[in-house]
Amino acid sequence: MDMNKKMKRGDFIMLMATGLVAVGLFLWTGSTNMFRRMARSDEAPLIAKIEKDRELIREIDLTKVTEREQIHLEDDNNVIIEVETGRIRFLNSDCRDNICINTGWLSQEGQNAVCLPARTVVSVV
Amino acid sequence: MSKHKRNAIIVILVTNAILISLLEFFVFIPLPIPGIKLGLANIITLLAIVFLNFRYVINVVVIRCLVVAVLTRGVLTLAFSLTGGVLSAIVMAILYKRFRRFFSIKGISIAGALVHNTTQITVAAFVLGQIVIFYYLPILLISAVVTGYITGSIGERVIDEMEEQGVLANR
Repeated sequence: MDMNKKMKRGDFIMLMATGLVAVGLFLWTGSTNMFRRMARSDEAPLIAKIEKDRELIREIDLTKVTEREQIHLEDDNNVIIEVETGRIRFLNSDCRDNICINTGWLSQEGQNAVCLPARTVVSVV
Repeated sequence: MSKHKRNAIIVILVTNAILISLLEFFVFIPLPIPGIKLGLANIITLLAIVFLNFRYVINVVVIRCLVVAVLTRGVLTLAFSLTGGVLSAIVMAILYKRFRRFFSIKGISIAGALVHNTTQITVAAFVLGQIVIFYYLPILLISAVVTGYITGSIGERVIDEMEEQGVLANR
């Protein structure tokens, strides 16, 4: 077998371009969020949006939440979203990967959790 | 290549692609990032590109996507698997048939994985009506390089071995 299968010039150019795009995007989104969080005052509302099938289902000001609440979306995936003071998360979804649940609590501007099978997005803005 | 031989190759590649995809779906392979998979069927797409004409490559990919979608997540996910599968196959085929001098099989496989992941997140953005999910793009690009390299290395070895043994030769 020919083991001398070296990577070629195009490969390296592609890898470098990919690295630049990935790092660039990462720095851009990361710094935008950082500046927004730094510019935020403590009393400012922290709005969480729950969207399903491109429609806004609920908007909650997380700073005004006083007691824990569970929001049942009553859909095919039995999505349950849990809200506490200052934070929100996916508590349950019957999808396969559970990426939405594993994302955990969202408590800062710019964070979001997505359940693609349930076409549901929770974002903090 | 005779018509019968060509059809036989298509059938062999399609059945293998379906089996590999199903195996990947049912056998849990722990990867550090949830939702990421190796995309082992990409190995078969690479073989198809090397040994078949362009239209038959697309046949192999489309049939695999259809069967796997019906057997696993349902036809509703076809929007994701078909767009990603077909677009990455087109890009890999063009790179292989036109720009082979500049790209290795590993590189072509990585390019396919990059196109696949970018396409899927674009489809997801349409489905969800949310641009924000492009936040995930950097992670997806980096994992595409890793998974593309792995499937590309396997594909390269298989192609070498097949050429050496004369299997699927005289195209």
